[in-house]
Amino acid sequence: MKKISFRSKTLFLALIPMIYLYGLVIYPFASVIYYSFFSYDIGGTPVFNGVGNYIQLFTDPQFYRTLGLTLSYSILAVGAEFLFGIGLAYLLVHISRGRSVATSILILPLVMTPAVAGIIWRIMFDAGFGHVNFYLSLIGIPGQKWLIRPTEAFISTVIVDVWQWTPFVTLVTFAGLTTLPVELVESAYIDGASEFRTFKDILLPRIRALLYIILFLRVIDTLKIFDTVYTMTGGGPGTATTYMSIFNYLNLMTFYHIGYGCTIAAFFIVLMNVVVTVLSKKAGAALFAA
Amino acid sequence: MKLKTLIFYILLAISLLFFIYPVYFAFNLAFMPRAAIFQLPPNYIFQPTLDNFVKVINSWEFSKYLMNSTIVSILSVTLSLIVGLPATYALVRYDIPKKGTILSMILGIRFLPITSVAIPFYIMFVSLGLYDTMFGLLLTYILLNLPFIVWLMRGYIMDVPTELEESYEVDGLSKTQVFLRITLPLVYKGLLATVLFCFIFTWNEFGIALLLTGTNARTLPVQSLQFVASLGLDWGALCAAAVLIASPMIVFGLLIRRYLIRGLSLGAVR
Amino acid sequence: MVEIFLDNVTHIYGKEVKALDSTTLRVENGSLIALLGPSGCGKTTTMRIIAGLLRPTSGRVYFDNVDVTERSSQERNVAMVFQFIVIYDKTVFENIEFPLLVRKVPKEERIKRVKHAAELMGISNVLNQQARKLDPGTRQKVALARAFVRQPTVFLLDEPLTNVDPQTRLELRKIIKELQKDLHQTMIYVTHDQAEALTLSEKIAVMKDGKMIQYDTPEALYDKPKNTFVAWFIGNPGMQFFDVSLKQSDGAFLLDAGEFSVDVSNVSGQLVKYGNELKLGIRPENIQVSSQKKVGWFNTKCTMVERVGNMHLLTLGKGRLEIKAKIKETDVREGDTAWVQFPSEKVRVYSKAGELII
Repeated sequence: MKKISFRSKTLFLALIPMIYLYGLVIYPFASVIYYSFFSYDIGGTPVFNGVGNYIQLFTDPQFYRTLGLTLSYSILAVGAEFLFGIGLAYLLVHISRGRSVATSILILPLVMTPAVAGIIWRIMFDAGFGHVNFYLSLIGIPGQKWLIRPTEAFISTVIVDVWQWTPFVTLVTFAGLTTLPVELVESAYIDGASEFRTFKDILLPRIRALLYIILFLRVIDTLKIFDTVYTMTGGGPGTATTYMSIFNYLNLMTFYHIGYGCTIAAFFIVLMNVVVTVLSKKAGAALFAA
Repeated sequence: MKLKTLIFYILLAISLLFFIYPVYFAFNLAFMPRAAIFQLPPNYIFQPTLDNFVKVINSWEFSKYLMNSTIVSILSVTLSLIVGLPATYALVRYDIPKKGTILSMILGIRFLPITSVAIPFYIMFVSLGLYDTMFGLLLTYILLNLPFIVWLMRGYIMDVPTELEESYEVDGLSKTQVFLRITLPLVYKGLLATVLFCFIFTWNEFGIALLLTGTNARTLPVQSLQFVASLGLDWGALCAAAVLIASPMIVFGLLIRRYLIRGLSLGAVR
Repeated sequence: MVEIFLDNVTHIYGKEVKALDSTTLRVENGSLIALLGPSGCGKTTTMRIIAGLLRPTSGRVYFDNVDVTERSSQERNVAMVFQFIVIYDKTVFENIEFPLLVRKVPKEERIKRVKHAAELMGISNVLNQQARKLDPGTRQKVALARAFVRQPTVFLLDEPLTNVDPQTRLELRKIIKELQKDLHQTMIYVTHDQAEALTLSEKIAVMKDGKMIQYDTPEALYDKPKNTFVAWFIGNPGMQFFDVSLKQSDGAFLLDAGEFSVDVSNVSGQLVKYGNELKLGIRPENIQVSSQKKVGWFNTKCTMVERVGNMHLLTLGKGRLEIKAKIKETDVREGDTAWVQFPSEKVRVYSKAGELII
């Protein structure tokens, strides 16, 4: 590798765009923090409000409700995606035919426009003519008021996340498993381990780093979930599915509170930074190594 | 043994049905005559019609938003490449101080809560007159694409042996020539996959477009929300719109199947 | 500890590739045998069929006269060590413990046996370390300990020393030999390294192109190779061959190579019926060479002298022929005339097709 040299024009040309773009990252941070201390509604003028917005935020019961909802959503969805996703990878590893068809199908939810997926599920969850209730009735489960009642709406959003992202867990796990040497499996079988035990005790630990990375990505992405939920429920009914990003958006664009919106954004950005810092201890090193 | 295999296939089939059903459902309804839609049990076999598509394409300025989405996606990916590729190459091949920090910060963009970060852009764009313009949207999308371009291309460029580049340099090519004429052609598959990946990502983007555009520069995913408002119970037309928006991405996604997972895992899967 | 019997086993990969062709092999209870052959000869396939990792296309596998062809690896209770060093992502202790753990051996018994196995391999000091962080040699010791920790029916060692540093290789060779003596355990050792096979095993099965060529003691393989392939494959360098014809002159029978001839009057009776075209084989180390002229010896021109270990490998030209001789002490130098004799008791004669006659 070359030592940096000031004659190296190429290098500077290469890095200038990055510096320019950093303006675009640092500006928003500064701006969000700045306006978070102002009382400022759309169409109005900013009035300095001190920590007033923050007091409002931390005394707002809806804020705590949103925080709790977002966390529950994240834990439930990611937990389900890992169980289901790794289970599916287990099936994929142990079949000999049809893998290509299976992986093609699993790609679909991942590339489907999330906003559009939200709309399709909104139709499918329809209490009257929705297909979800119809298929449930076939196996003897009575129809649910999916997007109408709070708990059911919450569960619906989790189901959609599981639908969209389980394939990600499956495909990454499967890809990781196929890179392992065949002797590892054979050795474990010969040592007397069952297929399941081999998978759980020998193979999964081998792709631990990979699993950390996707766990990390899934936790981050569920915490900032917006697209599918917004087009499916709009955060409702009431505030039953108003997760952090939606809470932030609604305060800004529906209630026109720019100052308060910035306060929420500031809090959320800091929160995500903390989460990323904590979680990336293990995942980060793995990403750099990859 | 046989029984176990059978059970595996059955479980797999049921799971796959769950993942494919919403897609099948959208395609099904999109071609379904209006009368057949509100029937249970659902109609699986019917005389397909293009009425729903005609309705969507002929109204709500579908073609305008289609153009918006296409232009924004193509331009933003192209610009991101121009900005990101040389930077990636420099970050791989030169001994830049704080390289790890720079890479982490670029990656960090991927983890930001995008709707929150877009708020100051909104304020800035309104005051600069960039609100609801393609240019404004492009500026932010470049930022969004950067982590993918840098992290994915970093992996591909690192796979090219340094010795190879050095041997061309010794033979008289400049560093820029080596990059353009030797390295890039070697990683073109990865580059192509990265481009398609970013294209899918940009096309599907919703949060920022929702905040930063009005009726003028709006993209299709945002417009789809408008369809819900105006089409409401016209499920057939709604699904036709969904199919029109999502199917190009499905095609691209299937094309880059293997690379897609690499992209989504930020290069962790090879 | 069992006797293993492969009865006419054939294995075909896909539709075409015959990896193993009607092979029959009996491994006596408690013996250590080696499967030896060039790569692609079917030795690993044989091993994997015994392990139960592969089901043969046809033929049966017996353990102590019990047909185990349909049984999985677990049901056969075999232990196997691979060329590719297999280490689980656990500590050394947990690695060795794993086969006992899945068999639900009580905890105290497990600890005792793991410690014992670790002692045998000389890795007691690293028991608590992460196995994947150790060097390849130590990792392979862990894999071996994991195999030796339980009492399997048979040990299968598939080129276990190939990916190990030379120092550890010698060490492990000794350990394996000693363990086999102490435990009277049936062991099958796959290798392409004949030195390893010759020093370790009681019997060696030489394989080629999916066929078992000769299954014999190391001595017999060296002394009476069944055909020209085995003769050439065993030895360093292997046996050399000369096309000869059987000639009679003055009541003596000679094998005439054109440039020289060897008197075989004492065994001529057996040779006559094989026709006139034969192959004469002799090992380089069995050729006698002298710088002085001797009666009955023929003269050659020495073209090259190489040192191989503590031996000298001479290349001797005789007309269009080239003879390799391996001797300990010599005063023959490059360019000298050397006098050569093939001792008749060391000469082997093969038919034109390459089968051993005498």
